[in-house]
Amino acid sequence: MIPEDLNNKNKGFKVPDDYFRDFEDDLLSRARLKDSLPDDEGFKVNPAYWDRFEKELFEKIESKKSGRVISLYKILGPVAAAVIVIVMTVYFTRNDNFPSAQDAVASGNETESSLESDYLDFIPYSLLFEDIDAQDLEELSLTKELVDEDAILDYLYDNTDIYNVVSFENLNEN
Amino acid sequence: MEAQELVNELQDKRTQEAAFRKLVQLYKERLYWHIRRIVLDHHDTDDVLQNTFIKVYTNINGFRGESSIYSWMYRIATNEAISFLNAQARKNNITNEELKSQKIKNLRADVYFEGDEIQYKLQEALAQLPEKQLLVFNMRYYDEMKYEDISRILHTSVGALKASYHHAAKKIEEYLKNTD
Repeated sequence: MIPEDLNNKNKGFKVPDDYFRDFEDDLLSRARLKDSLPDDEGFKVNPAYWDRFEKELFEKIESKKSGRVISLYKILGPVAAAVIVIVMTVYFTRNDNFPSAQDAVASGNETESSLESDYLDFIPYSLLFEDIDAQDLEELSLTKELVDEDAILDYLYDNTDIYNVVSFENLNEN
Repeated sequence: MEAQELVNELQDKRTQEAAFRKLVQLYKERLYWHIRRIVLDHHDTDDVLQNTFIKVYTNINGFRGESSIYSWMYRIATNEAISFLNAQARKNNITNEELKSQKIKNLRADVYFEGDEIQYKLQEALAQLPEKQLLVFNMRYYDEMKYEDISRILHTSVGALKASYHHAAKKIEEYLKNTD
């Protein structure tokens, strides 16, 4: 005799709660929509677009990558030079057997200028003249609103690399 | 290729470039249509799609594999499309609703839209929907995604998504019936 449990052929399989009710609702809703909605939405794309898209995308990524090298170098170059100068200055001023502090600073300056000259090769020429002077600072301090809120939001939208999650819970549900 | 294998290759500097090319080839069209249904215009879609893939590329090491790579990209694309519309409305100093109706009007003259009157009305009907209902409707009706997947992308419960979908479907049906 077959055990009672095995008589139920679906034994062991499970479906999510309310699956069959939802299935019917979904099917009917889809069938009604199929009747009233057009099959095609009317949007068009030039077939050549897909190849062009990939080409442009990889060009953008390449330029972004090279942009990063420059900006990292811009930051690290002067920092590295400054650290070398400080470390050498402290070290040599504490040890009389070694060259004087002036020598060390001179040597540090040499390192700095060598790093600087390398890093300057990466900087666009126009940026070399963008030092802020006292007058610029005064003008800045007189400006009440440096950047408006929209400009900040636009900047963040265009430049944020880290993927920020939009909270969909806050979207209008009406 | 297994999705996990592709993710591993994407996170490995030596294989990243080739894997990313595969990823773009695999998903560009699906993501394109998802974005296009939100922003409507081809050129805007192109911008958003490029930004989406650039974000995927720059953040791939932060992908923790809790969802499928497709769901993750889909989520980025959705965010990018919505942020793009918000930025456009801000730039033009108009509300999002005004922007939507402007975009619908522009479809009449859009060389990349060759819809007839019923297709145009469908876009009008979709534009009436609140953002969330529009997203749910597109994902469920056009992309035929499971509610569970939509739930992971939109961080909303399956029950709430079902309600949103049915509200949206009803509104669209009614709009099309009443404007016949």
